[in-house]
Amino acid sequence: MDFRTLLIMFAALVGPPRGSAAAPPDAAALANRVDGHLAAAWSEARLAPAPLAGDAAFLRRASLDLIGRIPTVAETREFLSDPASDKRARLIDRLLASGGYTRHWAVFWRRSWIPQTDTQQFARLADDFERWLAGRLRDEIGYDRLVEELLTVPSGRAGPAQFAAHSESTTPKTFLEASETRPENLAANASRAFLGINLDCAQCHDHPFSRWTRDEFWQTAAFFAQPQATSETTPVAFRLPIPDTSQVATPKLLDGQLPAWPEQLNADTGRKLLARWTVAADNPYFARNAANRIWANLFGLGLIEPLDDLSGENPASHPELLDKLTEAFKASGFDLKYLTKALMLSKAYQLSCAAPNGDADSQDPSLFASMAVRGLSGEQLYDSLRVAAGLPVERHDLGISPGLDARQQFATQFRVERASHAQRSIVQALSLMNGELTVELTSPEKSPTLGAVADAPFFDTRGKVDALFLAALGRPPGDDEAGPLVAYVEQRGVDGQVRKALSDVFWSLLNSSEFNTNH
Amino acid sequence: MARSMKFGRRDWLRLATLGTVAGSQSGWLSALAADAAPRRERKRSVILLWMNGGPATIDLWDLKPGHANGGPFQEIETAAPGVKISEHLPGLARWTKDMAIVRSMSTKEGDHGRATFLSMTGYVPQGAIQFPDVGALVAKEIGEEAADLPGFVRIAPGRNGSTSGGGFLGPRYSPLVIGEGAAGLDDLTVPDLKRPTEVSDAAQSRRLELLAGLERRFEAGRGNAVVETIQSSAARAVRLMRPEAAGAFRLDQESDEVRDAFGRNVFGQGCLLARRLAERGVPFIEVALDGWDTHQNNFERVKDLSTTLDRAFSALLNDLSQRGLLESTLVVCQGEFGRTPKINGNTGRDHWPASWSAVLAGGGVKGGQVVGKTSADGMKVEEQPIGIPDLIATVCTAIGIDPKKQNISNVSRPIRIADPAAKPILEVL
Repeated sequence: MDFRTLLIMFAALVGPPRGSAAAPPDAAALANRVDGHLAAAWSEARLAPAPLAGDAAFLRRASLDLIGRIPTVAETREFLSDPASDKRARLIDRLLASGGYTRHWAVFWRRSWIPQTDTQQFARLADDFERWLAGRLRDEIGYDRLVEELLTVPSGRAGPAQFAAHSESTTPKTFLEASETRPENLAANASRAFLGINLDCAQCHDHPFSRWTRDEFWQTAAFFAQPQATSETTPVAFRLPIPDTSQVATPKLLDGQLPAWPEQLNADTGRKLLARWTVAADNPYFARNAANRIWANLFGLGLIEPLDDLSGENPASHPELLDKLTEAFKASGFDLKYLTKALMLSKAYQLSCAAPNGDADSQDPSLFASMAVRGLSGEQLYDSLRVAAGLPVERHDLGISPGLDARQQFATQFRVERASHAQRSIVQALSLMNGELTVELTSPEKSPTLGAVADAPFFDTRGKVDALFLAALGRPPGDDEAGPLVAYVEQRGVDGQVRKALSDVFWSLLNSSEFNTNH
Repeated sequence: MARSMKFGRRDWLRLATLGTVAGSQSGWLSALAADAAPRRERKRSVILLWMNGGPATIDLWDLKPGHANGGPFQEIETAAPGVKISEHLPGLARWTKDMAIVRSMSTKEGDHGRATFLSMTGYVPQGAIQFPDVGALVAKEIGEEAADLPGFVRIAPGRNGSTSGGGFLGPRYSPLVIGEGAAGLDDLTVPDLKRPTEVSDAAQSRRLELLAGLERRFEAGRGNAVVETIQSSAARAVRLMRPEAAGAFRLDQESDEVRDAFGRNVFGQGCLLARRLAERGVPFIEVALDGWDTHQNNFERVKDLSTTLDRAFSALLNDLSQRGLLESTLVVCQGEFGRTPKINGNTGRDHWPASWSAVLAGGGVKGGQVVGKTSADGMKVEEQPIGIPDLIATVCTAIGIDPKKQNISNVSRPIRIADPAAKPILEVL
């Protein structure tokens, strides 16, 4: 028995740790509220929503959204043949409890909070951060605590012993390091990531259209300043000179309040006070920002756009809905799985991509009357390619392997900014058409899927084409689709070999936009 | 944006039709080639010679002979009366009539990453804003949708660059990167441009037909910008694979004489490739020469680098001129900053953004002149300080782009091509 199998068995025995013992909040009830709000908006716009997506489409969408990859053939067959009426809810529960969820959402939160870790300069910080975050998500730590841990990690160089430095239980200093521990960077990044407030413009001047002033920016930054010669109890110790001026900023919260300073000040006091204010239940932005970002990740578009502008300049497309989600998220104790599940149980999430009136261009996407077609992140695409080919997904929680480097490289090459606005470059397209990975995955010798399909004696040609469709697109082909492909394979392609013809079919499936999007 | 997406969709459909009609006969790729639109009137191009690491411009373009900061290099007279440059740039000395030397570049970023970002994008890093490189902005403004070649090509970049490529303009304008960290001339190729050896030409055509069939069906009812960009990039990739387009990268089509003239090294051949691309209408090409971070042993290294630069840069100007392309091709030579006028204890020079030089040559530039002036010790700009946004505004104006034009950024705020405070250098235009 290999190490990996052992680990999986161990995890199955122990089971996921549970959070609070209180009655879990009712996700289905919140889902109904979501649908109620949207139904009212649709009726006001005299719009009929798209029909519900079929089971195959739902399974693929939910898998990509929760565990970052398409379903396997076995998962698809099992889900499609399950007659139970509650199978979608059970699927969501199963996926949320899986390691795939923690790993995929660790990437999502890293990218939302610390987008710099996708740049060459800070990319080295990404792995440790994701490992830690995946562990915290597995342990179902409240979102408020997560963020507080991240912001209050001791900044001192003398950290835990070397062996513990990369363990998942040590909160990494990623957020500080990716801001180069400069107060102005930390203020801008923390406000953007955790409050949905963009202070960038206020750094240099008072922006005419923004609520935030230059003073407010530097007063926020002052919380991150190194205290100068702490004396007695004077909070004056946190002072930050404003560049190119003779002014010095002292800490003040964005809501205008002065912080309650403790008796004893030390280097991290300012940061801790700001963190506590940030994650407090009465902070008007914190829960709202999280709810808006989770919504945007699942629906393509935030209820407020841009995501980092909750200042009120851009009103929410459905204000009461966002309020409701924010309140419910807070009331649940910042339970990420609860909110995620509630959104996915909604009919809105389960709508088909087909626009109600047949023309996606003319529909206002902020009505959410059909599901957005979204691009895949580099990680989603890489993992999905491997799953389609019948290969296991590379995981960095199981130790270092050469495959992880390949995944990292691919993810960098195929990085997308926002899934709903994903664009593909020529070099990406060339790589997917002609690159080494595609050659490998479309080779019957190296792709288990293709090998099995080519050699299976019990499949006729239609059966083979069906199997390739299931593997790549998570659905069987319609007769009109299968026709030309079956004919192509039966004519033995252009090279006179059935195996090569099947490889050609598989290549076209992997390059299709149906494969390359979440829809 | 919406319009270009539409084009992509039509492009794809046309491609699919051609595939099914002509594919069986002479191969799908050549069928598309025969259909290529005739070339329109030539637009302008920019070739950026990127001196990676921060060149000691005090030893190239703005020497201080006789001063302790000057070092051992001598000045030489050039074709333009009164304009003197380093003795190690004898080839370029013949071209100063076509060059404007800006000796008053003055910036504030002394870190390679931040200074490179500023030079490439015109802005300092600001939070989540994904500023596009100037190359992407230029590609967007003067690139042609129907062109087989991409609008922005980056040749042999160093590894420490931290720029954002297409940035908020999207990967459509991201550079086609060739020869990243290239060790030899064989690395100056487009990755994955050739179909895999396992796949015959005929099989490739049929694969594309099968794909086109899938696309036609998926598109029904789901027409969407994300899908269209996937389809359009695939179509553009196929266009780039066409022998005519792929041929742009075939340096072996040049004579030995021409190849020798540019220098048989990555930078020299990169410049030759840049000329081939400019010739074919690519709006922005960047070629990097690495190794300018001369904290130690500055003079020996700068002498070597000067030789490489001189040979390739002058061959490029000569070649462009002979082909009648110099007037429509702007060549910019710069790094991320200059180096300390004061020579350090290791006979080196350290980072120095306060006063340095950049060079503009060819298209749209009034040559034979020097802009700005540094002090006798080289430490200060004494006349006409020029910032990066000013330089970018100058480049844009020279090639007919309004530097004040706005694009919507990824944070949904409009951002101008060059910072609103930027002023083009009027005397070079």
